[in-house]
Parts: sequence; C-alpha cells; structure tokens
Amino acid sequence: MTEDKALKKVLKVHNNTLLPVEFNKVLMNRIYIESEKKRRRSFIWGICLISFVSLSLITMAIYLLKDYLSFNISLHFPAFVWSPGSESIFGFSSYIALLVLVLLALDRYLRSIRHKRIE
Amino acid sequence: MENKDESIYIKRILNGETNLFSYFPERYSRSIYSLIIRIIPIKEDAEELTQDTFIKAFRKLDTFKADCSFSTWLYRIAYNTAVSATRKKKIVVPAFDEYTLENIPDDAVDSMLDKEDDEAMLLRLESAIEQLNLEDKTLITLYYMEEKSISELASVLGLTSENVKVKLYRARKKLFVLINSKENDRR
Repeated sequence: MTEDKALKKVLKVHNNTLLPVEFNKVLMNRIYIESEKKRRRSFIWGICLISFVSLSLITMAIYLLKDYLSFNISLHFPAFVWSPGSESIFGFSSYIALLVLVLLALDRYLRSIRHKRIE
Repeated sequence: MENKDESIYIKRILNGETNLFSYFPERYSRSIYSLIIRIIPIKEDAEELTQDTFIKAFRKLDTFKADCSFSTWLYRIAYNTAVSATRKKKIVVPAFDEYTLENIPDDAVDSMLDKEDDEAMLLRLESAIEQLNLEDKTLITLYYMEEKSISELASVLGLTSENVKVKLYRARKKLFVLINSKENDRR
C-alpha cells in the first residue's frame, strides 16, 4: 500500500469538526451522576449480601439448636413458660419490634433526603 | 502519557477518585467523535453517542484488562455503540461485484489515492467514503486518520490481522470503483 495521501487529506479535513466547548464538562457531570449511582448500587448489594448471610446464619443456628442439640428452653430458662396464650404475646412483640425497625429505617431515609435537599 | 500511567489512573478511578476520569475525555473525545461522526453523520447524534461511549467505559472500567491499550478498548466501545445506533436505521450501501474488484489493477488504485492536489477528486473521495459500509468506514478512519496499527484495528473490530489487511485492501478498491462510477456519471 502506498501512502494514500489523498485519503489522509480528506479524513484530516473532516477531522476539523470540533466538539462543543462545554462537551467535557457536561460529560463529567454525567460521569459524577453515574459514579453516585454505582456507589449506591454497590451499597445496596452490600446490604443485601450482609442480610442474606445474617439470615442464613440465624437459620442455621436455629436449625442446629432445634434438631442437633435438643435444646429445651424451659430447662435453661425455668421462668420462661411457653403456653398457647403466650404465643400471641410473642407474635405481637415480634411485630412491634419489626415495626420499630421499619420506622427507624424510614426515619433515616427521610433524614438523608432532607439533608441532600438542604445541601 | 504512557499506557502504564493510564493503568495507574484507572486503578485510582476504581478506588473512588472519579474526577481523574476527566483525563480520558480530554485526551480521546475528539478522536472518538471523529470515528462516530464518520459512522453516524449527524452532529447531535454523534455527540450523544460520544458521551455514551465514555459513560459505558466508566461503567465497565473494572472489566478493562491491560491486554490492549485503553484507546483501543475505547474505540471498540465507540464502534459497538455506533453500530448499535445504526441498527435502528436502515442504511443502504452499494453492492460490489467481486469480479470487478479483483480485476482492478493495484497501480491504478495507488495512483488515484495519492492525488492529494486534485480538489475535484478529493470531493468525490469524501463522498465515496460516505458510501462505504460501517466496517470499511471504521477501518479507513482508524488506519489513515488515527494511524492505528493493523493489530489494534483487529482488536477494535474483533477480526484477525490478516482479515483486517484484506478488508483494507478491498476498501481501497471499493473507493476506486465508487470514484470512477461518479466520474462516469458526470460524463
């Protein structure tokens, strides 16, 4: 192949088309937004992973206590009396505990939104 | 800046120093835009696709392996982005007769593509490049304008080096056919 000077010249002339002055600035703004999204995504993934591992460990612990160690709660905690009536109280307490956790998470989320708006 | 330094930049960006990414658009945005506008000759679309190229590169930065230079990797993203954008549009490219291409003497092609002072021929050449298919346009742009090597072109287009050489050789012959057909039309 020769130097193909004509081809190079034609392509060079076309190459003079310039990008807008603000191009890189606009692009970097999009990159910062993307970076924030990426950070948030990895945070959510981290939370999901931790939750999954924690739940697995709790499930495994319950399974071990129940089936392998023949753990009897009334032997270790004599004051703890399990009756058909207490079941509903435990259920209610668990529900309240869960509700408190959800409200705390909601509070944190709303605070972070408010904080961002102020910034 | 050498490739080694760019790798250091990439590591730092992946560690959270996002502002360092501005180095890459400053260095490559014009070349990427030149390639994309050759494939998509609409200024606004080409600008948007150039931005998309850099955003895709940023998203996939952790998958960049130093088996090729960063610019080659970026050109590959730009080419794929531009090709995906053209899929929505129906592009008609002229068909070339294999026999005709094979029988064009190399000397004729060489002498025609060396006439850098013939303005009328340069205009026809510009128009002929527009009519090539996307792959040929990319090859011509990267080889002659960006002065990329054959192996880099192979990496950008996912072809073998031999294949790139053959395609470049044929693209020049296609340009010869297109220029001469225009000349005949004028007569």
